[in-house]
Amino acid sequence: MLRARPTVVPIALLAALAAAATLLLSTLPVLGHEGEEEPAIALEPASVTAGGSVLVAGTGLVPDTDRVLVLAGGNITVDFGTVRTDAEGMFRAELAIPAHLPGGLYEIRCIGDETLVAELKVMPAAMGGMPTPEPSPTSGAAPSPGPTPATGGAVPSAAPTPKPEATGPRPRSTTELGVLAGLALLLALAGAVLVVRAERLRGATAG
Amino acid sequence: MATAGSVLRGAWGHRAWTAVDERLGLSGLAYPVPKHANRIGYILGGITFFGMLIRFGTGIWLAQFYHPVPEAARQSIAYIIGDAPLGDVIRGVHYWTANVVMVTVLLHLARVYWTGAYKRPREANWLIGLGLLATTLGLLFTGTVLKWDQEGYEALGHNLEMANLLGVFGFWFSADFAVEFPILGRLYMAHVVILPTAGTLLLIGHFLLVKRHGISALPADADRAVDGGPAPATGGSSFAAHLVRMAGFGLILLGAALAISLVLSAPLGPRPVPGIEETKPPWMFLPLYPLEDWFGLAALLWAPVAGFAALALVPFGDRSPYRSPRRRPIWIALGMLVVSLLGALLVYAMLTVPQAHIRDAM
Repeated sequence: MLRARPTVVPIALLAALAAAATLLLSTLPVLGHEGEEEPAIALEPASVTAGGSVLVAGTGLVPDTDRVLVLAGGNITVDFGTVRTDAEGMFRAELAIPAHLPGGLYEIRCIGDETLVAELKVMPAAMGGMPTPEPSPTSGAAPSPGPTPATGGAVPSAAPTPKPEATGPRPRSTTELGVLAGLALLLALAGAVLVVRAERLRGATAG
Repeated sequence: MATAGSVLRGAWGHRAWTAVDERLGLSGLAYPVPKHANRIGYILGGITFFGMLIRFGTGIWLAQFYHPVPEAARQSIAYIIGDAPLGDVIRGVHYWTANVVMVTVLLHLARVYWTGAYKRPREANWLIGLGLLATTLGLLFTGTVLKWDQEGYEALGHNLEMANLLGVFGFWFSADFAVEFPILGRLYMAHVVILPTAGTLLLIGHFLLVKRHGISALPADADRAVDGGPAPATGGSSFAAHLVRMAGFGLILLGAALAISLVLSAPLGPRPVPGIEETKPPWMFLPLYPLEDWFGLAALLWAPVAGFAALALVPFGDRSPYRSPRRRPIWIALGMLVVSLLGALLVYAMLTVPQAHIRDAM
């Protein structure tokens, strides 16, 4: 009598189930997340060392309109130029805070049909250590409702941009790269030798 | 039983091993190793262990330069990448090894499930293994937050939402638990102290139970014994050879991670902006992402809880003495169904555009 291999049926069944599940999942509605938003701007970080940079993001604004970005505090005003909102009324721009700015509380103003204001705390440049402190979102709170990312680029700044941040592979000399690549190869080869050697030991040293 | 002295061939090596073993009793750690235990499927746990050692070593190096406060965290990572001695390479090895370890943990789990190695008397070790899986996921999650980029910040947002969902039981995950101390600092402590300590204790238990029960026999051999055949062989190889092979794979893993790091650095995303969600989680959490889309944040808590609970119940549900996959068709089918669903969710999550979840809950 012929006997079907028991695993063949489950595999065929599983393949059909997986296909059905994928189809089902793709038809389920995704919860909506869009909603009417009040005009707002948000800063990241909310405090920065003079000479650093800060991201400003706006949302809920009139689409395809210009806004002027200004830093103001005491008798100091720094004009960062103009940004344009995208089709969804959002923008995002990086502002370079002048290194000579005295420490204290300032306002970032987004001026257009309405003026939106966000507070920025600036610390004197001399306070910076290694690595340069980069104040970030409030450590405790969850991200608050606010602007959505936009395609806004950098705006003209009144101060030199700080050293570019390293996020990719470090440039290396050929020698250094060769040494590291050689080390990687050596480790892999040593590992392969141990694997093979263990195979030879296996029969010789029954436990 | 053969010991490391078998590996250190020659009189000098043997004398050195004898001198060390006489004082430390290392040979007491050895246990019988059958031949099949040196196959790749049975050595995945050992590769995972050596991957953990690599992560431990590279993590110590990274900790010298990482600044676990919100004001400086991301900048210190940029410093590690750009300026710290070998910082980018060490971070790359740490990151890529963590990803490989996640894969080997899952494959190890799959092998144990496929071969029914969780069955009596190994139920407790299966549960400890699940604890190690949870620890590995915890390390990956906290490591993601520590980057303090947009992805990490959004991960932290989810962490805080978990605190809300858990109510009083989620106090540790809440920022209100220690208002004077940034939660980033506590997650860092979890990453470098709490989770590694828990993982080490679980590993010790895991190894002790492997020593106690021995390496599980091949399913066919175990089934023959159930049917009245001969008992499966417990030897055939040696503990030393087993260790050497694990170490060999560990070195290959280290070399591969180093080579990859020279080409692909560990990612660091843009600086976080509060109030937006534009990233997806790392791949090991990605299957949860569509569930969060469809069922809200609660799915992020209850889906893993249900998954771990189901896995924990496996040894107590599958009570048949047989271990061969073809003699456990229902359990194999269930396992493959779960894997297929996870795969489908993963692909779906990769193809969909990012959705905001946290803002919905607020």
